[in-house]
Amino acid sequence: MRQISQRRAALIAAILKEVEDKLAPAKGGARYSHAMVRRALSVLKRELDSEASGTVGLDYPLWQYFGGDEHGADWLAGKIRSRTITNQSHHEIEAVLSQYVTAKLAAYNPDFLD
Amino acid sequence: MISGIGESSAPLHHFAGLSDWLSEQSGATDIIVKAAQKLSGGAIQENWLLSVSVGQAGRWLEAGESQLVLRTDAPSSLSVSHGRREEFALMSVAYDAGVAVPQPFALCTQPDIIGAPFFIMQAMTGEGQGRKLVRHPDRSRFGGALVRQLGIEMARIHTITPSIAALSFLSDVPNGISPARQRIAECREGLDTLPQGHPVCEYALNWLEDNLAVWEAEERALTLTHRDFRTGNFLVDDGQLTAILDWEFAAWSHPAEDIAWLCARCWRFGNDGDIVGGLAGFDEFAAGYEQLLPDSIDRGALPYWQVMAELRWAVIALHQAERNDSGAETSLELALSGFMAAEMEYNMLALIKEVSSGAGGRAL
Repeated sequence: MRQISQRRAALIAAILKEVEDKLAPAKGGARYSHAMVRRALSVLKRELDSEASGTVGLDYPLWQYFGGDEHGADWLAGKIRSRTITNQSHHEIEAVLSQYVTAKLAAYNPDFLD
Repeated sequence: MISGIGESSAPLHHFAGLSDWLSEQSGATDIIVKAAQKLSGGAIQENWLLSVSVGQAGRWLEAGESQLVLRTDAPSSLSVSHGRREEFALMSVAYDAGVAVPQPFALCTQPDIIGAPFFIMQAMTGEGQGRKLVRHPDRSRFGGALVRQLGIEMARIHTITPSIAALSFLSDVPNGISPARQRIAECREGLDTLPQGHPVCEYALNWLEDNLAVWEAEERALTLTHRDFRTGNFLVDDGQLTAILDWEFAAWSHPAEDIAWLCARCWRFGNDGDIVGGLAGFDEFAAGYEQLLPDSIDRGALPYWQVMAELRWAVIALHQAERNDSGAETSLELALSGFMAAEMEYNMLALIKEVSSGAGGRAL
């Protein structure tokens, strides 16, 4: 959660800098800044909506399968790296990872899934 | 049109020492840098379009009004990318081999001229924005011929072999280690330096490692590979390819690495049906490539390298986001790159599933 908060804070800082640049033409402004700001704000909104609903964290498919919110992305990455969790030990692992990615895309870029 | 012109301008005092240096290097005199505009793209490096006036012509500067491109480091960069000296050497070798690259004119490794190493190259015309190219209203007219040209140019790069002395700094493939094994190690190292775990990337890495035996079963000759040859890194003017850009990742590798990178879904900019960079189909590309290097495309290797391509771009994107998230360089473009990694993860899983089921991947 601390990492998500940090990432969110960094994203907000980046949005503010982009808006500030846009409002100060002498400094120049990045191309596509309007579209990027819109996209960033929509990512934030969906993340916050998910959190407010209380049921859909991005790691939720992993918690659901492995049991308990200590079994999130960090934990699973380590288990896969060490080959403690493989295709052989967990036949559904590809499907679980697929659900996890789909949950992330639903928050970050739902158009991609269309 | 010059790609990305007008993104932002720089105070000219930033380039105050440049006129004298340009004069020394080119032999031209009475040079005035009249304007400098940052070109689009370049999350890792910066490109500036310089408008200069020249009194007396020199070796590569004509008298009158001219345009040049200055390429230098962005405020923070990736450790895996070459410095400007190496990139200048790579572009010089490619230019001499007849590859469509901007002519590199002069290199400055001293930080005291503009504050960082840089080089000067020819300003080329053309559109470089990937999204604009794949959505161009005339793409269906020029896409096939363009992709054929891309095939020819990529093949020309792949005719350059490790015997070239000017590229001796590329001796980064240890004996007996295949490029694939090296990329796996690089991606693992890349993931290790990120604050969060990425289970899909780890899964793809294990899959790539498990399939190394098949990949390494036969000897494969190494050639120069661009390693970032994709839509967004070349310029197109009126449907014609004008220049291959951004040589900072070039290395000795297997040609399939370049072909798969160009064909990876992540570089189709949403135009997924046209496999080669969202521009046209594979047959046109292969026709161009094999016009120069007959029967040389290792089609069986492409799905493997496409998984590698998705993984590599995911790791780079996550690192770009980390540059923002860590506070090293506040940039919305960098921040959003990290959120794109989920798309590459999706592609990795889909490709692995296809290859495992015997469907052969998406390259062909």
